[in-house]
This record gives sequence, C-alpha cells and structure tokens, in this order.
Amino acid sequence: MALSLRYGRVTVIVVAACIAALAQAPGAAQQVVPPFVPPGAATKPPSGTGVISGVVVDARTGAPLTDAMVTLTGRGIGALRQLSDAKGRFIFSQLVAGDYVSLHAAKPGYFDGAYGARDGKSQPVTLADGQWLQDLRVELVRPGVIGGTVVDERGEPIVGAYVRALAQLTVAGAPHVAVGPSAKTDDRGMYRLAGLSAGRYVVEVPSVATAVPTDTPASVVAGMLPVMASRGAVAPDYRAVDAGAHARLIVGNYAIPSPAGGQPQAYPIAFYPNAAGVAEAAPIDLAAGQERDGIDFQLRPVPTWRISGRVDGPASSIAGLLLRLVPPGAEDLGLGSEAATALVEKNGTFEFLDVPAGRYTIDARRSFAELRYNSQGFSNDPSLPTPGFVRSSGGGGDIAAAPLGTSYTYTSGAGDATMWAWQPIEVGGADLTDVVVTLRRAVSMTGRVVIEDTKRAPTTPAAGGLPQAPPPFVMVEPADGSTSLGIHTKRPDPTTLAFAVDGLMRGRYLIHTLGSNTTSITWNGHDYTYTPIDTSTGQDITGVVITIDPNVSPAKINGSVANVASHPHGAAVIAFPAEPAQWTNYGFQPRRIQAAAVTNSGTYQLSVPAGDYYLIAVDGDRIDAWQDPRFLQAAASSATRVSVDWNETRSQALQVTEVRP
Amino acid sequence: MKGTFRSWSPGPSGPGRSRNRSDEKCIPRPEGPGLRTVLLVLMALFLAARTPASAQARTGAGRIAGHVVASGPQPTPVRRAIVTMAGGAGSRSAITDDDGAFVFDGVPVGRFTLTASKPAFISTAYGAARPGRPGTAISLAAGQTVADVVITIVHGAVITGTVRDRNGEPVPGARMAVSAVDAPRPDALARPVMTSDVVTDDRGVYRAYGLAPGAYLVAAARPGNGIATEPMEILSSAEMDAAFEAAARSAGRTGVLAGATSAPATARSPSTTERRDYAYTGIFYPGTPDMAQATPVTVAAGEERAGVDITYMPVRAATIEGLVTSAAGPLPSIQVRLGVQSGIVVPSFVRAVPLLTKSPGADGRFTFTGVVPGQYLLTADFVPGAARIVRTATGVTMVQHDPTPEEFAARLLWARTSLAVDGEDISGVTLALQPAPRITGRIAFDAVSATPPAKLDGRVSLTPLTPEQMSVARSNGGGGGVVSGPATATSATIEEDGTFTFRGVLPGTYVANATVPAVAQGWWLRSAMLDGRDLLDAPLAITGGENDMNGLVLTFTDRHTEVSGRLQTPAGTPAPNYYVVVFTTDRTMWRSDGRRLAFARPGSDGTFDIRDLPPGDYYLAALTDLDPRDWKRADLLDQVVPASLHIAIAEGGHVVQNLQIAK
Repeated sequence: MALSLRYGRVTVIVVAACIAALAQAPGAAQQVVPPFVPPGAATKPPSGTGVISGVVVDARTGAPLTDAMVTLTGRGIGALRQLSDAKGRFIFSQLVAGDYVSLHAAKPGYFDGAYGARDGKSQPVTLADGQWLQDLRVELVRPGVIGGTVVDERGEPIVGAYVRALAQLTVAGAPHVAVGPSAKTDDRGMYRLAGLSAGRYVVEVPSVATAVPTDTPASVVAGMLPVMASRGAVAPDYRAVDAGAHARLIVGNYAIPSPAGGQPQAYPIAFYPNAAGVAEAAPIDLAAGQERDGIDFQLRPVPTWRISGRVDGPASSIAGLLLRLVPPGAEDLGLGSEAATALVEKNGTFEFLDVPAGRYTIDARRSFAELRYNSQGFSNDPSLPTPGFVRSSGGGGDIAAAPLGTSYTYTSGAGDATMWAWQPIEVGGADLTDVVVTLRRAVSMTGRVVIEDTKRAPTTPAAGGLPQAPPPFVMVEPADGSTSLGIHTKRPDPTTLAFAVDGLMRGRYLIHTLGSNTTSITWNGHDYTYTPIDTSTGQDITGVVITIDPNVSPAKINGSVANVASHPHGAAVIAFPAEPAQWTNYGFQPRRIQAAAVTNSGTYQLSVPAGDYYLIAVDGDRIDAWQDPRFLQAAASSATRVSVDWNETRSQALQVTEVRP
Repeated sequence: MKGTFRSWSPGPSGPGRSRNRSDEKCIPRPEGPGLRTVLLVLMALFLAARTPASAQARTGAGRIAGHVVASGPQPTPVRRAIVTMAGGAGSRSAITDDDGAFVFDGVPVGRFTLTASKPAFISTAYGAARPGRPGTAISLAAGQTVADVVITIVHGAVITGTVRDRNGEPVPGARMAVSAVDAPRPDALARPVMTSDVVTDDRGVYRAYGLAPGAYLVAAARPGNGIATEPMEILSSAEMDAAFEAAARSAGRTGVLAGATSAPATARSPSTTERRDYAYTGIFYPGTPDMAQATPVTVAAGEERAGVDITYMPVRAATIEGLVTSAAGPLPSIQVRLGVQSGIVVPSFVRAVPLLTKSPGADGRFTFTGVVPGQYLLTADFVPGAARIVRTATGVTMVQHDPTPEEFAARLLWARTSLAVDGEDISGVTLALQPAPRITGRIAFDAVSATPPAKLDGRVSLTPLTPEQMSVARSNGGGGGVVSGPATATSATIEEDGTFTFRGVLPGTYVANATVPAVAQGWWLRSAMLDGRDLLDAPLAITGGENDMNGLVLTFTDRHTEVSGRLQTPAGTPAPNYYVVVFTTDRTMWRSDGRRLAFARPGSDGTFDIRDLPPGDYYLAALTDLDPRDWKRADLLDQVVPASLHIAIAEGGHVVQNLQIAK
C-alpha cells in the first residue's frame, strides 16, 4: 500500500516503505494554509487580554461575507476558528500576547484568503497584552467559471466526457502550460469548470486511445502493483475492443466513435474552438470571478491508423514500459495528454491503435511530471485515467516561483528508469509498421551528503558517527520549470549518506535539498548551490557533494519599512541575489529569493542563505513581482544591497519604492 | 414486470415515506393480485442428459450479433453503446454503430453473457427482465451464428438540486454522496450500497444521473475532504455586538491600537463563558446530520427528480474525554478510535469511518473534539508490534516492522463501548482493555485427482455479519499493522505450510472464507471446521472472554458437485427467461449469507448448471423472477417449497434433472 505523508508543503508518497522518516519541513510557507495544528488544540481556551477583530469581504464588491470560516493561528498558541456573522464580522477575545502568524478565511465559492494580502501570504500580526487589533480586513476572491457543451457529429450530447482547462503561465521565469481543473460532461453533455483563478486558459477535450496487448492481465490495466496482485487483490475487469493484431483498445474512459466502413475512427483531442493543438487553440483570458459560458465543442470522428513496431533496449527496461504518443505542445503535460498509449510486450513489440493523422513524439519513459494550476476543491483530482500505467511512486509540491496555486506533481512507474526514448513520428494515410524505438541511457547523478559539524569534528560514516536526524531529501528539478525533464526526489542512504538519481533527461537541473542548512553543493570543482547543472552532454554526473551544516541557520534580515500607511494593501519586502545570473533558472523554489509581507507594526522579517542580496520594499500587491525577471532587473538599481552570513541577524530599514520594469 | 416485491416502489407518497413500508413483507403468492414472481409447477423430465458443452471441442468461429435499443413506446437504437461479452476466456467489447448494431466475430463454442452500457443509461444484460437482474447466457455451438440479439437498456434517473448555506447562498464545490439504499428491512441495511460521487457547481447545483430506479440517500459534504472536525465558534450577531462592546470598553475607543502597558480590564466576550463548538459534517436530505433521520429520495426509471435541495450548515460538536485502562499497566501505542455505528455505508467524506483515531497519553487519557451528533462506537485496542507514528522534535517517523516473536505471541487487547452523541460534551468514558481470543488453524486438502500445491499463500478472512464490529486481529505479516475500522473483515496471512493465526478476534458473528491464489483453479472450499462445527454453514459467534481456539481447518477439495439440466416450456422449447433455484432443505441455513442456496439463469438453449454445492438434500424450483441480492429469505423460500422438486447431492455427485413447465 502506498503511504502518503503530507508534511509542510511537499507530499512524498512512499510505496512499500518499511521505515519512512521525514526530518525537515521545507522553507517558508507560501500558500494560504494555516500551519498544521494537532486536532484538539483549538479547544484550549485562550486566557489573555488581547483582542483581534475584523471583517471578511468580497474582494471585488466589498460586500461582507457571512459564514466564512476565519482561522487565527498563533505561533505556539494553536489555531482558533470562528464563523463570520451576518455582517462579515469576527472577533477573537481573551487572546494571549504573541505573534499571530496567519489570519485566514475560507468560504465555499471563494478562494481562501488571508489578512493583508491579495496573493496568498498572510500578513503576520503581533499582539500585546491588552491590545485590541481591530478592523482587520480579509478579502476573498471569487473563482472564475468556464462552461459549455460537448456534442458529437450528430449534435447528440457526449455524456461523461472529460473537459480540461490548461493554464498558460510563467513558472521559474519562463512560459509554461499547466494542467488546470477538469470536469466531466453530465447527461446533457454540459460541463462547468469552476474554481478557476484569473488567468489565461485553453480548454480541451482529451482523448487517449489506450492499447494493451491482448493477454494483458486486468491487474496491469488497473495499474496494480505486482505485489498487490500477488496478495490476491482482485482488479476490476476492463472493457476492451479487439482492434489490433495483438492489441486491444480499452473503451469506456473517452468517447470513441464506431468504425466507418471497416476503418476505425477516433475523436481526436479537441481544443476550443475546434483546434487540433495547443498552439492553434484560442486562449480565454479569464478575469477574477468571471464566468465564460458557451465554450462548446462538437467532436467529429476522423479516420485513424495503427503504429506498430518494437522497442530496442535491454529486457529489463522494456518490461511493463508504457509508450506515450504525445502531440505537439503537450510535451510538458503528464498522463492523460496523449493521443494514444501502448503497453510494450515482453518481446519488445508494441502497437498503438486508433491514432489520428498527425505529428507526434513517442515518449518512452518511466517517470512523468506536470505543472498544475489551482483547483481548490472545486473539481476532483485532474488526473485522467491511464490504464496500463503501474504507478509505483510519486509526489509533488507547491511552486513558489509561479502564480499562487501552481504546483508540480510527478509520477513514476515501476521498472527500470535508466533507459528512455523520445522519438518523433508522423502518421497519416496508412498504418505504420516495423517502427523501431531505440532506448538510450538516461543521465544518472550520484553524490553524497556531508554533514559538516562546525562545532565538532566532521561527521563521516567512517568515523562511526550518524547524524541525529535522517538526511534531508535531495531534489533534482528542472531549472527553468520544464517538467518534461522530470522531477526527481531521493533520500540519501541514512548510513552512507550517498545518493543516486537516475533517469535524468538532457537539460539544466537545479539541485537542492529539503533543508535550510545546506551550505554548498559542488561538483567537479565548481559550485552548483544556486547554479544549474547541465546534462546536455549525456555524461553521468558523479561525485556531487552536498554539504550540510547542522549548526547554521539562514540569516535573518529584519527592520522597519517607512511610508507603509499610504499603501492600502500594505507593503512587502523582497530579497533577491546580487548575482543577475540567479534571477532566472532557479527552479521551483528559489532559496535566494524571499518575499515577506510587512506586519501591522511596519516591520518585516526574512530568512535567506548567506550571501549578497538586494532588498526592496514594494506595495503589498506586488509581493510576487519577483517572478518576472524584468522586475528584478529594474529593482536592482533602486534596491539596498546587503551581505549576510549564516546565523547572522541583520537589521535594515527600508521604504516602499515603486519599481517599473 | 416493473418493480419487485422487495423494491421501494415509487409510490404516490414519494420521498418522506417511512422506512417501515407495509409492502416489505409482500411476498409472492401463486395466486392473488399484485403477484410479481410466479412459481412454476415443474415436471421432471427423464431425458438423456446432454453432453456438457465443456466436453465438446472448443472449435469453430461463431458469430454473435444484434442491436442495442433504448426502452420506450418506440424502441430506438442506441449509438455508441459498449456491449461486453463475457464467458470463455475473458471478456470482449464492441461499440454499437449509428444503427445500434454490434457484432462479435470469431466466437468460440461456449456460453456467453452480453451486457450493454452507455453513460446515463443503466447497464443491462441480454435477457434480463430489468437492470440488475442476471441475463440469459447465449449458448453458441461450433460455427453458429446468433444474429438477433436485442439488448434493451433504459435511461437512468436523475436527482438534481441545489445546496445552499443557512443564509440561502449557494455552496459550490460541495461533495455529494448519492447512495442507493437497499431494502428497508433491518438486516438488508447491513449491505454496502452503491454510490456515485458528484460535486456541486459554482451555482451550488448538483446533478446525479444514470441512476437505477430505487431509493437514494442524498448527502452534501464540505468541499475538499468533506469534514471539518476541528471545532469552531459561532456567535450570533447579538453576541458579536456584545463582544465588540466588551472589547471597546476594555481597550478604549482608540480606533486603532490600545496601549499595551496599562493592565486592562478583562475583555470577556459572551462566547468565552458559554463556549460552544460547531463542526461541519455531511448533511443528509432534507437537512440532518443524522443518517437515521434522512429521507430517501425514490426515483422511477428514467425519472428526473429536481428540487432535492439541501441546506448545508455547521452542527453542534461535542468533546469526548475518557480513559483507557489496562490490567497490564501503561501500554505503548494504544489506538483509540471513534467510528460511526451504522448499518448504512456511505462515502467517508460524508461520514468518516473510522472517524477519528487517537493515541492516548501516557496516563491513558484521550480527548476527541468536534464530534458531530450521531451513534458512535468507541474502541481502544493494543496490537503488540503495530506500526505507529512517532513525533519527535525533528519530524515525524513512521515505525513499522514485522512483529517480533514475543510481540506476535502477546495478547491483543481491546475494549469498546457505544456512545450516543447529541452535541453535549461527554466525559469520564472508561475503556477497560481485555484480551481477544486467538484463533489458529491450517489449510487442508481433500484431493481426488489434483495435486495440492506445495507452497501456500493468501489469506483467511473472518467477515462480520453485522457491520458495526471493529476488528482488531490482522495479518501476522507486514507488521500486524494498522487495525481496521468497522465493517471490515479480519484476515490472517496463510504461511507456506498452510497454517494461519488470527491474533485476536473481537466479539461478533463471523463468516469464514479463504483466498488462496495457489489453489484457485480446480478447487473449492468445502468446509471450515472448528470444534466439530462448519463455520461455512454456522457463523462463528464470539461474545468476549473466550479462550484461544486452535484447530480451525479449512479444507479445499477437487470433488466437484453439479446440478444441471434443461428447462423447457410446456411446448418443449427452451425456456431461458426463468430462474432455476436450488436450496437446502435445512431451514436453519436459509440465511442471506448461506452457501447452500444457489440460482442460475438457463442459457438460450434452456440448459442450466450449478456447481459445487455441498452434498446434502435440496429443493429445486423455477421462478419467473428473482432479486439476486435478496432472495435467500425464509418467507420467500417457504412459498417456493410446495412447487419444488426434491434432489439429493452426493459427495462429488452430478445430478442431472431436466424440467418442463407444466401447462
């Protein structure tokens, strides 16, 4: 059974774990989620003399919102929850003095919101004994909606069809497509994609022609791990059409037309308005809370072809391999974005069925990743069914270097992940046979973690010493956010502290750890702590050394910000590296770019690794402006430069500055 | 034939009908109005038994073809329906064309059942009198073509409505549980139900479609994971006004910040003196958190029922405090679990089952907060060597290991009590741990020709007959790990030598079964003997305080029994549209879980075949209709006995009995 541990903001799914330990939470929280508080803590009655009160309103209309659940979370105090009244008011009395790190509100039909922020970060407040902080305003934003109808070529509704929104956004300083919410059409063919953040979307009706070899066991189609099947778990039988020489087409997940004159047909993937690919789709710019109806589809069958052949590679790499036929523009999207999939037989042969004419890439990999954008409970898991994919592990986390609500997920299949292929192919007019897909070896990265205890002698396995806490996860992620490179997470061996990451594609990766005391990452005499490693040569990367010093903690920069009062949304302080090379290609979680909201008392606090930084205070609305590299370019000239060391606490007064990129 | 003698027929009273329906005891009578199931007077035919199809060579490429039509005054072809043909080696599917036609070519000799499905329609088998009934198998001879198969499917019903909060505002993203309720009889409630998972849209509107006719419980749950068990405060506007006034009095009307230096008067809002907790849970139509108070919504075939609206609101939540005691003194990793006690199984996002799990402190004390009204079962258990989550200063560690021999030999301890929660806090609940009896046994073989496997695997399970039992005993492999919640089976891993151990079995009534992949083919489970009783026929009743039980022997055999024959009309033609039932003459075994009761649909050629009934005396009868989920009932079977034949099945025996329906 899979064990899912959610800790902090990163979910790691460990399959068949015997001893699983997560030692360290990742860095500062960026999403509007109150910190984890053990259930029960809430009933502990507060017994101080402070009061915090305020109102929950609709961000656009300013109207008070009733029955929003307001959660006040204090450091070491726990969480208090109250429903807003008919006037949108809330009041927490008898509060003990201290730091209240988060005041957030949730109401069905709205995105979660937080005090002092429009874009995710709650402004922390400090409460003294006897103090009444009043008129704290929490604004909630209404999600947008895209709705429409899906009908077939005769105008009859297609029932139960998936409709999916793809968001076009900037991640890690580069343009990307992220998987948004999906919905299924109802018995009238109607769908509504609710819970959409403001942004630019394309809307698609996915269609995956799933082929499996004729004798595929139901447990494989159901995606069951062999260990579960051997324990007697019974997989539901699947429905399949005998469509190929040695393959069957699984039916029931996506709409499939019947053959015309003996020629198999398919409804190809459709993008609004009746476009074949992401590039030809008409983007829909959705404002906050906007409702766009009439995004209708009429699916039309097209003739299809088969692609058959064999995969060339070691037997261990072929067993259970799922080939994905990926249309142009969908390379960064995960499972469910294919035109067709085929399961490779033991002897290496494969057969794609029902493939519409077009250009594709045959993607032969074991691990897939994708970006996702915000669904906040409005729809089910956007994962689309992928029969035949036996998932063995996966995980994901939120992305700081993207609009709020952007996350990544990765999924790895069982089997040898060291071989892969990416092969372009064009089909149309005739079946393709004898296609050879040649697997090549992926890049592997090996290295070790060194615990450099500056207070004691360096602890090495040879010295017999073990660190108190298990070593933190090592993450290798695409520097520019391109998920087609895959996202790799490994926990170093707890004894030797060695790690090995297999299955890297060719591109630029950033290495980091889920820990805040990594002092350096080096390879080949060069420093890669904040610089991507390039795997384009295809050469393995060996001897990476990640140095962790348990005695260091990030430098704290704090101070006061002048002229906050003139900014209705408060102010925010952004720290970014002095090195322009680190303004892009910083992966999903730039450790050297930090932003914090300024508190009610006009102070701020940031934690950053040692180094040279620019500091700038901006309007509270622009707390995420750093995600655009042009902003950093423009801000550098008016920013304050500071140099900090580990464990240092530095005070720096700032004033709000306007930056025009 | 619409409706059955046990369905919740869509009567004029509609929703809001009492569960104690008057017609629930309406049983078939051979005469009289309202008759829905007809008993057939049978004549035994002593004809030469046909050679079983399995003995024939499976050669020849036959063809099965036909149409799928939608029922109605004017049957219309159904395009793009998926027709699935099961039988022989696995199943195959075909998609109907624009005329509703389908065809399977290259079909070998055999018996095949065909089922048609399409989204928003109700899947129906060929020859089934209505959805949910088994179909008629098509017997295909070598090279034969059966081209006139017509499968009629019906449009499913729709339940739709709006979820609003207590202020009348729509609740988008609410997760809806639409759960089919089985028969209203108390014992039938124990059955798991079908559910479909639906979410309200941005206007608070949900729409559950493709529903079979019947009764449904409709519930709305909070977006996301459905339940917010963390308590929260709710102040009325008057209370809120008072709290603001109190704050103003104590802190001064400075408007922004009051000074922190002077000792202020105590700011005391009314909420702090009478603090009440609320929580979100599933709200059942028409507006209750208590399943027992829910009103089922009954829909007829194809009906669209609108206006099934639910007002979604937080409910009073209680705090429950108690103490776990043990004669052995303090124990590590005790789990205390609060689960909903109910015969109706609904999705966990409506009702978390098990709802809450806690490890009591070192002093054995535990507290559950945010407990919404309902009937609960509170259990504590101690499983030596169980996995546990350890929180340390640096993080969370899940410690899981195979139990050591000492841990494995140690007694499992348990305690449980029922709790009725109505919003008021409950304290002083005491759970005194006591040992659960251990049951050991082995797998045995009674072999005629097949060779038992050298190495065994799989699991033996004890399935509770009533769902409100908590099971403590679990596998002895994989750590003796997580203890299951209510309504689940207790299982033990079979070792290679065929032995197994249930580490502890809680009070309850259990049916034994075994899943052994190595002996799947050609064997059947003949008996499960414990102290001279066969647990396959007489469930195991544990009342607590029993000693350990050793020597449970589950025997697989390859001595197969068979009852077969052919059912004919008075005119002598095959009679496929009936049910053949075979049931034991021992009335004490007429239970819903009884294994000495079986039925079959005759194939298109009238032949029927029932295998591996235990040897004994049986009745054989034919019926016009039968609800497969609910026919093993004494009140029904008593009616069938007079129209039955008496047969005896010998050890390994094959009874051939042809039947003709009397004129």
